[in-house]
Amino acid sequence: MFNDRRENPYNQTDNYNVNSGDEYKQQSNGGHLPPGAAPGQPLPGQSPSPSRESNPQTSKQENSLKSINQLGETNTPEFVHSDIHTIPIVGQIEGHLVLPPKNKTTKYEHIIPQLIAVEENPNIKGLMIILNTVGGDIEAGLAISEMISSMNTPTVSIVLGGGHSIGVPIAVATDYSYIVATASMTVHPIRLTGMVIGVPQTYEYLDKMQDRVIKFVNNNSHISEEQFRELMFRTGELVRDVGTVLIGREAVESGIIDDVGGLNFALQKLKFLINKREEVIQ
Amino acid sequence: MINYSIIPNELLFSDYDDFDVNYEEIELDDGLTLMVERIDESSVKVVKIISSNHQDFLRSNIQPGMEIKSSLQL
Repeated sequence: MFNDRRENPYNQTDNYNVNSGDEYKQQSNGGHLPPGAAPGQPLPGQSPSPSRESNPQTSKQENSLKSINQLGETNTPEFVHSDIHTIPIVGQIEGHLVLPPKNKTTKYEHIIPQLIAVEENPNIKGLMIILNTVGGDIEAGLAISEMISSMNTPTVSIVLGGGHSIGVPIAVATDYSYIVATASMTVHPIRLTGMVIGVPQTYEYLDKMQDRVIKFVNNNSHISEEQFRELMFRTGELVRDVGTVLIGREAVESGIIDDVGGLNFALQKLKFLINKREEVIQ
Repeated sequence: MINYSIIPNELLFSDYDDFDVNYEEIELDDGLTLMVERIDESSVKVVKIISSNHQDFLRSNIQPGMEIKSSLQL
């Protein structure tokens, strides 16, 4: 229950019921849910909180869940403790500007602390990045990429649907990257928003910004700078733009992505990397 | 800002001048502050977690985009 500081004309306390996550917090003493723990579920070895049973809203939710299960409308998987944390990066990567609400966005100021938390949390052994992004703010994307690439926790990414533009450095930032056969990655030059001064320095500036992306991809994948530049400035492939679209295996053949594969491959690889790291630590 | 996206900037920012962010901050019992967008009198949507404790960002019940219902208590 959360107190709102707003003035209440009825002299009432406005509380926000964020299901039972706070009850969980009191139980776990550490103040945080273990990875994969569902809010409202007791920790392994702990009995459910008495206050939870007496909470009418919680029991209402449980009842509705039961009825859904009985009607067979949805099949909710059982809660299983997992030591793998998943971060989906979808839509636009939102950076310094708040984008209009019609855009689906991933906020970098939320991803970065999560990455730190994952790196520091001893219960999290591996990180899976799910990518389906159209790109976004170059600085935000590079910030996320640099954070991922500097983690000790084993990381694996899967590109699903699309991993375009600034999604490319994020995809290659992990220890191992996968792309599903139908996913695509667009490599193209960057664009500038706002007033553009028509002087040679503008081009030099853009070139420098592009170099940041190119160098990062080069350092974290098997593609050379020259090859990546060639893909970036290729003409005749995109109708209204310069660049290249790589689909599934093409992204692997170009050296950007490590392998073609889906969830099973990514999970297997991540578990392999986790075991390898634990062997090294021991 | 430099955008590196396949969505053209004209489309991305088409209604940028028209939309108005109406965010407010609420504080949880444990001192954690959330930036939220008010949907109506009884519910808000989480926009951002404001915390220096990075473990707060792993709390699954207050992730951005999640709706929080409020209940009035006398």
